[in-house]
Amino acid sequence: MKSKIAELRKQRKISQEELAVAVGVTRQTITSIEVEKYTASLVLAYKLAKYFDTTIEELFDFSGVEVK
Amino acid sequence: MEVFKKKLKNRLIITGIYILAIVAVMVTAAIIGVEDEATSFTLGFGCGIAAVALVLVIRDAAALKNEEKLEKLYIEETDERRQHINAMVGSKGMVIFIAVISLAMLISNYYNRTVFFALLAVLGLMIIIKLALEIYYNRKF
Repeated sequence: MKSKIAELRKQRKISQEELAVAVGVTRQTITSIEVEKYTASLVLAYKLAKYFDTTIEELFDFSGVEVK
Repeated sequence: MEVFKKKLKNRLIITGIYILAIVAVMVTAAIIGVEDEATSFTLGFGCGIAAVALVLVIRDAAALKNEEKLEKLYIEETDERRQHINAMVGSKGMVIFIAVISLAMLISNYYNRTVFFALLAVLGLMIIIKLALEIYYNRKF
């Protein structure tokens, strides 16, 4: 799933390691989310959104998600 | 974090008991075992397992004494991506293992009945464990 995490992180000059420690995951998890290999859980998505002072909907791209 | 500390302390105790059990088996094998391949294997393999367990004990003990190491270990063990990978490896690995053991069992039936029954016992145990865990986790979640 696409996200603005990498963009926001670079804007604020924060390393992946710093972000990982702040939200309680490993650096590898942040990397995987940024390269769209791994989709964050609801709790992690909330933590990331709160860290960047935004909403989950703003941080992640849900355009590809369908509701039938 | 206090819950995690308690978990680490319990793990230290259990791993310590496990190491003692391995050493007990090795000592028994060294004293009463004949000098053959089985005894050599028991001693060698036992050393390997005990060494790995000891490394884990040292890591956990160090984490309990150092807040920074404790925090790092906590993140490593609770990282959701790592937990997801472990779950996938466990579930898919179990299925692959059952499939391979089943095939080996069918083939060994024509070559060695002892191997056949050993594989049958392993397969039976794996299936029972898998079913028991499925029932447990279905009720838990």
